[in-house]
Order: sequence, then structure tokens, then C-alpha cells
Amino acid sequence: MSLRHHLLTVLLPLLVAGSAGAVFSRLGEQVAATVEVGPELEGVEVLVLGNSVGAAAVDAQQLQAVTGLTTVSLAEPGTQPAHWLAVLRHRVRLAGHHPREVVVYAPLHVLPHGTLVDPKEQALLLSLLVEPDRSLLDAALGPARRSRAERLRRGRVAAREGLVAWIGLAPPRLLVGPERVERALAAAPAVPLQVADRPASVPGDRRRGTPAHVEPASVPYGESFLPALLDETARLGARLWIVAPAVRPSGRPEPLCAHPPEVQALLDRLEGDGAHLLDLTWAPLEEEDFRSLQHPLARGRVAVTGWIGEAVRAGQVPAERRCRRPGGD
Amino acid sequence: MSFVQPVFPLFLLVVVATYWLLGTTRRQNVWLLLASAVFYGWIHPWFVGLLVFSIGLDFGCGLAMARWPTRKRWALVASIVGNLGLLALFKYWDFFAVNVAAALGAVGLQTSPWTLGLLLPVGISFFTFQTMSYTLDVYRGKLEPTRDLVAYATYVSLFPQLVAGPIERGTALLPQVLGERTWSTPRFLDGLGLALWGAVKKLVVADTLALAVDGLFALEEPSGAQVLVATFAFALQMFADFSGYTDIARGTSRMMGFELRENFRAPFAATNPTDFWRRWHISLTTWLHDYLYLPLRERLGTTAAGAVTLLLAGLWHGASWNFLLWGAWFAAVMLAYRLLRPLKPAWADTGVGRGLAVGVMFGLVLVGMLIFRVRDLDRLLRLGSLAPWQGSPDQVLVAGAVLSLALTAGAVLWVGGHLRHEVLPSLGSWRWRGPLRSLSWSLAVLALVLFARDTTRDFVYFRF
Repeated sequence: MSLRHHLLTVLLPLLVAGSAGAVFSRLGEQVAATVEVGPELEGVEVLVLGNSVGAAAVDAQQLQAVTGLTTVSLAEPGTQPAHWLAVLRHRVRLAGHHPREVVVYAPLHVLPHGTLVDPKEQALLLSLLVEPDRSLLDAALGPARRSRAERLRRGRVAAREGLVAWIGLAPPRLLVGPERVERALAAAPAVPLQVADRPASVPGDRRRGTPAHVEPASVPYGESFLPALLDETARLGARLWIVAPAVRPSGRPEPLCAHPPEVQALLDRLEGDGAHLLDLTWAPLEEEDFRSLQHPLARGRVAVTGWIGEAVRAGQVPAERRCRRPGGD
Repeated sequence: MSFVQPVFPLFLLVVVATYWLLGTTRRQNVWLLLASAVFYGWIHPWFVGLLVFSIGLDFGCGLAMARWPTRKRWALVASIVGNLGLLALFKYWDFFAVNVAAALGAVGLQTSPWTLGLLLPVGISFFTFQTMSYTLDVYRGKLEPTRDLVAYATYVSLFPQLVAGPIERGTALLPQVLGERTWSTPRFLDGLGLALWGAVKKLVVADTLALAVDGLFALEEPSGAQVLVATFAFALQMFADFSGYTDIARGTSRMMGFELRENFRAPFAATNPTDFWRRWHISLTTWLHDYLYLPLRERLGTTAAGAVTLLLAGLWHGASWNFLLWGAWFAAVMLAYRLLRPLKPAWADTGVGRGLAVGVMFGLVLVGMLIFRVRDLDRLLRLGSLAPWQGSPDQVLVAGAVLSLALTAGAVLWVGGHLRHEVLPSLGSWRWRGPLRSLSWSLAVLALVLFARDTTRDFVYFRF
């Protein structure tokens, strides 16, 4: 081999490594915006946000029938306040939608959750943004997101997941259109082809097999995403409804409506800042109306949606539905 | 330890560098033995005890055969009973206990199964077969028993092939362990390239496919198209996973001057069942052929011996009814082939005929893969009875997406394999060989970096 070939032998790997580093770094800075949210928000008047409890408890069609307002539910399992804020800011306000009512239905302990620690949740957040949002990313992913190593890691994961999703989804999307494919995939959530559904790189013990979900830690109200959620709804000119989920009888607080002091302080703070609180922990449902502590089955769902509808239609919580706190009003 | 653990490259670097620095065969063997013990006992150190038992048993049996040649049959029986006893205890006991209790229950004798709940040591089926082959070869006079315990223990425990093969024969590997290994840069680089390609097969292809395959098989009510595509993707996943392991094992061994046997030879290009078993998991099929099928054929005849061998090949994979059914399926396919072979038309040897044969054989292999993948027999029956065209348009779309992924994976396997095994070796001393190799290695490393997940899956065959 000549000197030129020897040089090439050494330089080619450097070239590949350098190019890959540059691409990963750039991808790590970009926002993915890979989750399709949009068409169904056209003309939305009531928007429901929340996690799996919200998805199980609120029937958008029934709520629309009760309130007479166009209702869309974007409550998704595994989502956190950071995701709801991202949806509200990026997929609703920046996309020019103007809901009048925003209903958040999720277990109360989730509300003060702070920085996302589960890589899957982090990936989902990135996939929701349509433009760079430094304040949200700093709050949701922590300051480490700005380090070069973290940027490369994120870019690597984004490149891999994007590549796999493109290989799998490009042919069917070409054949029948992207919306049709998204709908089909939504019906088969176990098949991990959508970027946000794929388990991303998870640190920890590899012998565990499947990555365990890591809950974000709770933070003080001022550091949580709740003030920003209130701010976004105010910018939209909408009302924010915080619904404390209905609970199966065996798990209800005793006495009714007696929340732990820190939860009560959070609820008081939210109400003080303008949120409408609908406490359904008192709701007279039966044990068999639930499949878990707070996930209602069909009959429970109908009742819960009806109560939310009543409150939204009236613009306030009807007196007979108000939770009577022990020693309170 | 596993090849896919992040610590493995470091382990390999230390082992290989020290190995070549040590110089003499004796020192190298002692070092390899230590390294293999660390490798095997990484998670459960007590596993090493089983390995020591198996090594001691067959080394002793080999010596006993040399010492008392007229009574060598007893030494052989001791080896077989000891090794199969080990397998029976750790691998099959609970399965038989549960099924015996169920059978007794069916005739009105209620009894709780006397299970042991023992952890299955990884690779037990591989190293017990390897040690047994030594004793069988010594018994048959094909191999002189060695008196070098370190060399024998190194032959059995050589870490690259310890937990998932290839199942080596004493006749092939032991002389290499006993003999001198000399450094060869081209051989070292070739081994490194082969190991790299094996890692790509496993971490890039197999693990990516596994996510989609698991997702489809996890669907409560999949359509026929989804089951078909999932099975197709699973076949590719299995091939990439197992042949990836073999390539890493052969590559790392080659880096240390050992040549291990080939385990896969384009298995999905097989035109008939005999051809398939000459291409898939070759080290196991030849083992079964030489030590089980041939002796059985003398007593039972070709057909029965073939059926028994394939049933036991199924059972070798695991203590589960689906593996027995898997063996039965291939036994039935083999029987059908033998019956139909005389009717083979003349055009079967044309290009079209061969293409058709490959397609039919691949279809039969897919049925076997479905049996292999689905352990629950009720579910297997339900999935197997679905027509491929059955399902909603949405289900077809999901199947199409996974099919696109699987076809791409198949193309990567084919192109990469072609480059690795055909193109690069044919370049000889062409001046562009160096740059081309460094480029292909860089791309392979890039793919590994891109696809490496912190939660990697172990090799499928580790559980056997």
C-alpha cells in the first residue's frame, strides 16, 4: 500500500466518527416534533389533559354532549405535567387553537412532579415540541441537558429511533398516508415503531430486562410546572380545571376530602392562583366501578364525565358537588 | 458475562493482550482457564463448580479408558450418566415433575409436583455436550485421552464458545489447545472483523427486530398477517442473534489463534430439510448426527432414528412442550421429504425449481419458528390457525411496517454477510483493501454506537 492508502486507512474512521459526532450533536439540539397532534384540535373548546387515569376517566364524546362544547381529550398514559405544558404551549397556543376550558385529570401526587428522569418520558417531551423551548427543556430535563455528552447521547437516541421508525413507517405512509398509519399504530400500542413509544436508552442494571419506570420527584409549587400551566391557560383566555380523581371506596381518604397537608396546601395554592378545583375523591362510586385505585371502568367513567360536564357547563363546581372539608367551608 | 455487556470489550482487551504477552502455550492455557472462570462465574460464581464437575468427570473418564481399556464401557456410562444427570437435574427435573403430577392428577391421584426450582446455569447444554463428545471420541478410539488437565479444562471452558457454542469436538479443538499458537496479524485482524460483524448482527439487527417481534406477539388478538410477519421477523432475529454470537465466538477465538467450526451457512437458502440441518446450528446437528442418529440408525432404521433425533434436538433446546412439538414438526417435515423425494420432477433442479424449493422450505421453517416462539400451546394453536389474509386494514398496516423493518434487516444481513465473507476475502492484497476495511469497520462501530442500548438483551441461546 502506498502512503496515500495508509493515510486513508487512518483518516476514514476519523472522518466517520467526526461526521457522526456532528450529526448527533445537531440532532440533540433539534426538537423532534414527531408526535402527531393537530387535526383533531381544530375548533377545540374543551381540552382534556392528564395521564392514564385521565384517559380512563373522561369520555370526550360524553363531555361534549353534556357541555355542548367541542371536546378533545389528549390525556395519555405515562404523561406528566411537563408534557401537558408542552402540549398546551406548542400544540395548542402556538398552533393557533383557542380552547375555553382546559381540564387536567390526574392523581394529585403527579401534579407537583418536576424534572423528568425516565428517558422514555424525556423522549416523549422532545417529540412534542415544535420549536426550541429552552425554559421548558431546562425545567423538564434539568441543566445536564446542555452538556455536550448529554447532547450527543440525545442525538444518538434520536437518530436511532428516527431511523428505525422511518424504515418501518415510510412504506405504509407512502401507500396510505401518514394519518392512516398513525391511527393504525394507535390501535396496536405494543408494537414499538413510533418514536415516542420506543424505549429509549435507560441507565441502570441491565439484568432487569425491561426498564422500570422512574417517577419524577415532587418539587415545591413554585418550581413545578403548575404556575406555567396556569400562565398558558391564562394566555389562551381559558379556564384551568384541576380535577382530583374519583377513588374506589376502599382507597378513599378518611374522613372524606381530608387530603394530606402538603396536598391540601397545593390545592389551596392552585385555587388561589385562579384554577378551578373539582374534588371527586368523595364521588359515591362502587368498588366494582374501578379497575384500580383511580382508573374507573365504564360506569364510573360515565359518572365522572357527567360531574365534570356539569361543572364545566356551569362554570363553577355546583354547591352539592363541593367537597366538604373537615373543619373547612 | 455476556458479549453484549459493556465490560466485555475491556475484558477481551486485557485477556487477549496478556495472552499474547505470556508467550508459552502452558502459560497461555492457564491464563485462558482463569479468564474463562471469571467469564462464566461473572454473575453466579457457583456456576464454575458445575463446570469443574463436568471437566473433572470427563477428564477422569478419558484417563480411565486409557488405564483400563477392557472396561472402558463403564467409564463411558459414567460420563453419560454424569452429564445427562446434570442436565436432567438443572434443566428437565421441574418439567417432568410438573407433568408427572399433572398425569397423576388426570387419573385421580392428586399430588403436588416435587419441583426443585433450580436456576438454569447458562450454557449447560453446550458444555455438557462438548465434554461428552470428548469421552465418546476417546471411547471410539478417535482421540487419545489427554493427561494435561489444564489443556483439557481450557478446551471445555474456552470462554468465547463456552455458553452458546459452537459445540467443539476434542478432535478439532484439543490439538489446537495443546499445540503452539503463533501470532499472525492478518488472522488477528480477520478475527476482530468477524467479531465486529457478529456484534452488529446481534446489537443492531437482532435487538432492533426483537422489539417489534415482541410487540406483535404481545398483541392480545393479532391478525393472521401480523402473526406471519412477526414469525418472519422472528426467524431473522433468531438467525442474527445466534449467528451473531457464533461470529463473535469465532472471531475472538481467532484473535487468540484458535479456529472454531462454522455454525451457520446461509440457512434460509436451504432447498430441503436435510439441506437446512446442514446449514443451521451445524455444530449441534453434526453432534446429534454422529453420536445419536448413527448409533440409533443401526437399531431403529433411518426413519425412526431421524424422528427420535429430531425430537431430542427439540428437547435439547428446553424443557417445554413447544420444543418437543418443534422437534416433532421437523421430524414430520423430514419424513414427508423422504416419502416425496422419489417423486421429484426433472425441473426441480432448474433455477425456478430451486427457487420454489427454497420458498417452500422457508415456509416450513417459519412454521417451526412459530412453534419455537410461542410456548403456550393453546395460544400457539390459535395463532397457527389464523389465515395470513385475515385482519383489519389497520392490522395489515402495522404488519406492513414491521415487514418493512424485517426486510431491511434481511438486506443488512445479506449485504453485510456478502461483504464480510465474499468481497473482503477476494480483495487479496489489493491496495484499496486497507482503506475499504477501515471504512467498513468504522461504519460497523458507528452502527454499534448508534444502536447500543443500555438495556441490552442477552443472546436467545443463552437460555439453552
